[in-house]
Amino acid sequence: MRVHPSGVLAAIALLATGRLAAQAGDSLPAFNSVRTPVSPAFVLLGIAPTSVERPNTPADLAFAVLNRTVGPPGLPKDVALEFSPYWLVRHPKLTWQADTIRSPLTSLARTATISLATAELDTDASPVTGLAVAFRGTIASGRLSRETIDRLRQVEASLTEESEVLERLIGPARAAADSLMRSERAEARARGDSAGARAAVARFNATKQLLIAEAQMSPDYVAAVDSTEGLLKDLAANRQGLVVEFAAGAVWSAPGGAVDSARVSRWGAWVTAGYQSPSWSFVAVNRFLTAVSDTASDVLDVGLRLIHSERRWALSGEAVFRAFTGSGGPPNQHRIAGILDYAIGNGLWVTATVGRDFDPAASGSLLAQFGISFGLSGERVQTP
Amino acid sequence: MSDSVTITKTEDYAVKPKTPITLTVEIGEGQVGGTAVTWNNTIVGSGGDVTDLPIGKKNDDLRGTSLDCTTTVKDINPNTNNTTVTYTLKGGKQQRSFTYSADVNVPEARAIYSVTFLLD
Repeated sequence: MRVHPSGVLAAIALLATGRLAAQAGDSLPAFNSVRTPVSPAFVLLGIAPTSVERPNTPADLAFAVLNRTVGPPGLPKDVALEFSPYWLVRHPKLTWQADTIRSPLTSLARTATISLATAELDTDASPVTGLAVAFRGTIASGRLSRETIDRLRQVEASLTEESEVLERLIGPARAAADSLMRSERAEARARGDSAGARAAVARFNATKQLLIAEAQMSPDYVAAVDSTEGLLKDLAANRQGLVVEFAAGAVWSAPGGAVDSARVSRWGAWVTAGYQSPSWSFVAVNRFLTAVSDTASDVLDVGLRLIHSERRWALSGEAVFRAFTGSGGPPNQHRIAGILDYAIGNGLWVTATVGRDFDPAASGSLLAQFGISFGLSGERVQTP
Repeated sequence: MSDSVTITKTEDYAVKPKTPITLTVEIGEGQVGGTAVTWNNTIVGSGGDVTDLPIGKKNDDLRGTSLDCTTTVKDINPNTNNTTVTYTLKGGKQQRSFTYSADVNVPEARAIYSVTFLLD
């Protein structure tokens, strides 16, 4: 077995679990909705825990680490950063209703990601640093189900009720503060004191903050929030139906980690198609990977993956057939793996892979990987 | 409710004498939310879709009154924690849109926007 779960990873996971659990209670994400998918850059580097990854849009910014170290636990060396340009900027006109169905171009824009990954390749005696850059995008990303749309409309009505409760609770005190602010502002303006006028408005805004904070502790408001949360309890804004994703990228290899020695060593492109239902997903992938200096290792992969997912976990099995397309290549190979994903926090997933890799005679062909992935969108700096 | 973020704003909007105005509220970023609108101490409209809500009637003089909006946005979009609300007022001396944004600190949290328009 070439991989050992890292103590460092475990510590990170435990720390993150505790922190995130404190933030989000028991509101864990659904596998279909917010799981950070395996970075395509990891696929190009040949270190992904799965060979048949389901199309899935990550958060605006996602970070993944894998640990394949042999022997004592250490810091993971395989790291990927993936970001979605579309979701890194604001979209004030994009309503949830407008995103229930996507045209191919719209889908591509909203799902395109760029990923960067680095990994230590080859052996400790002859280290090679691999750097991969990859792109992916989905031209068909399914649609929100009728049940999900109906539920979101109920949530909308419940959030409206929350707003109405707040309005009723703060209304009288706010009206009094409004009158005071208007008179203070008028006096300030009369004496040409624009700073004083602005200060009166600032005090009014601060008063509203306090009134809302107090109102949020009232039984009526708490009941309204509980009602909304009840509607959301089993809801994941999953997209269902046909999904088709394209991905492509390249790997630069640097023997000894020397910049001058870095060369494009590998590139690849693939298409992934599948069908997603609430609990089951079927995915097929057709992928071509080629090595620049050694056409004998050019490969064409055809793979299938069947996934059953629940809110906290997902279990899947995959099979990949590999044909070597270059002359002088080895015989055809196959890979079979089982993958378990488990949510240990909001946006934080543990992935375990067991099975056999393509070349059964090769060292490390017994798959036993363990990794974590997490979205960083919850850690963004709050803006005023 | 410590997970929620509250944004309070106050803006001026110049109205025409004895002329009603309309309010439209758009909730962006693919998030879900609902708004309650108060004018003259009465809730005059609410919902997830507030479009061209009339404020006042013909010959009502809106000057010196306040239009208060509370919008609660719930982060349901797995792609972003950002929330954005745009309030558009029409029928006054000019059409104006006011756009506010805030990131929720925790996925699936709320952003509460409390916006007062001083009609003068």
